Amino acid sequence: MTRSWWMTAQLILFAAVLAVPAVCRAVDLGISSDTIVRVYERDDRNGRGRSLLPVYEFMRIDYGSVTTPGLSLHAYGWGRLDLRDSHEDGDAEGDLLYAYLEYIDPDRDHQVRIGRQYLFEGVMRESFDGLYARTELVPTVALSAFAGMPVGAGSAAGRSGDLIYGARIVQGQRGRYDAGISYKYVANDGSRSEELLGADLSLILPAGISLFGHSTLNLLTGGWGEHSYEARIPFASMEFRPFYQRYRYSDYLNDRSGASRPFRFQTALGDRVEIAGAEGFWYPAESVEFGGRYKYLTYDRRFGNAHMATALATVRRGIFSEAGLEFGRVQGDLAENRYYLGRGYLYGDFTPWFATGDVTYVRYDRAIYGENSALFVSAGLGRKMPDPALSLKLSVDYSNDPYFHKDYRGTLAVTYAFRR
Amino acid sequence: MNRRAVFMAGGYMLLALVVSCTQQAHYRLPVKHPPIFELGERREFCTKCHGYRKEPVDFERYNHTPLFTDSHRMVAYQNQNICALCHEQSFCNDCHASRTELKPSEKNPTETFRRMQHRGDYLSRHRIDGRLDPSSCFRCHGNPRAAATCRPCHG
Repeated sequence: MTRSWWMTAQLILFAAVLAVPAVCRAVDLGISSDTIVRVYERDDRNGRGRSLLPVYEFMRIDYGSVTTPGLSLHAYGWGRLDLRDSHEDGDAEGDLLYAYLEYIDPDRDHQVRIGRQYLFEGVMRESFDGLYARTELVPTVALSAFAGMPVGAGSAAGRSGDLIYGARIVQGQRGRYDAGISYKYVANDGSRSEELLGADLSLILPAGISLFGHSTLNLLTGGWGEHSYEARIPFASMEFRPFYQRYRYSDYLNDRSGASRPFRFQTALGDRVEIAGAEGFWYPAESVEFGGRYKYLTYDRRFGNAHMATALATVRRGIFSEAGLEFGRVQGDLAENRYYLGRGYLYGDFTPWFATGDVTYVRYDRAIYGENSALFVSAGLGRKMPDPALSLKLSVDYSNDPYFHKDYRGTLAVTYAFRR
Repeated sequence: MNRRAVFMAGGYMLLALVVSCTQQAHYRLPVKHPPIFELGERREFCTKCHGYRKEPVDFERYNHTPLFTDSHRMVAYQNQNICALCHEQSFCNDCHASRTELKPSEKNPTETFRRMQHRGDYLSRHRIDGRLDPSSCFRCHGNPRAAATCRPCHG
């Protein structure tokens, strides 16, 4: 994090603290803290053993009109302190994930955010420092726009010449359809890095059937990067969700500065994948769920076909207790792309205590580094104290897999939530 | 191709405004959903309280099924405002962040019911999943900052 950004963030925070009470009818304050202590051992890149004891602090602050229209401030970030051996050089020791001021007008027709923020909207799924505004022009049309500097591109070669902007317009009729068009432009170090145009659709048909989807056009390459569409068909206590996806890697994956090698490789390969399949759910009782998903993948060049299937069942008891079983199979045309997966998990609520368990076993058709299987076991115990809103959680994990031989890890988390 | 696409998008915007002259009653989302339980303590089904009506919101679409973690992206792309009724950005940041060091399952090891990505021995499995469908990896690890996770091994 650069010093200039820190100063900017502090100025925004200071201005917000002064400004919020003056323009708010009700001032809320929320502080959430997660303090996480982990203990584990790792070898560094030179093969030297390290005994690690990092302490992480994740802190969130919400101040102002948090639950009502008005002005509010939201900030969230994390930091790490190494109590024993240090992490690898170059690893970040913290980050400001977001810090923005938000204003929502009393009629809730207009929304403005300024600062570091995340946006998941249309073709936009990125963190940026800048301005976002959303307005309902008329009851059936919403327009949003954003502009600023992308956070992600800043690590390539500084933030000079980095720019991001875009917009989305949605037109719809409640209970019938929504149709949106979105646009995003990203410049990294002064050169055009990404330019996407997207269309998304939600369509509600008779008998409760729904159709959703989106398509993305890469304006740099002139090709369609993605088509993803799914239908939802309810039937009594069941639901069936067929879907179809198509990706052309040279148009979907960004091979420009900063992308890691696998994505650059896939882009150069020029392959195309089509994924067809379905999810299905059955709820025989309020506390019992059965679910499953099947994917059939076909490629233009690199592989033959591949199948991915998973089935799971969950049982709930009371409000919070839940147990589940899952079984999966991934089957590519080559043995190296095949594995079985089994998982069982438990979350038992014995207020104020809770206990958790998680077992995952994976069997690989072809050994990875001489290992044919992976076993992961996690056991946890926690206690909630409602006044103050404090939770203590202890987790012990064991893993024996192709990368880690008989690896033990421990995690102690203290969660604190303050509301006023 | 590009010019045609932009022209079509502009045309759609114009059409949207014309169509919208047939206005319907204005519904506005609340800023926040009234709190029920501490967020993240259980998977919620909106239809339990709201039923299967499609108006003013298609509540069924937001049911947190056992596979919701894997397939919620289309919901978020189209209606981030609905997600924001219950979730602060920090909740999304457990998985979607420009740079965090802890995997979601490492930050929340006792929330076993959330079916978080990369739980257990994912380092071995990602070799296979990534070969078969890199698009799902790219959505999070595609930007230069998040790619720092990949660089130590992949360059």
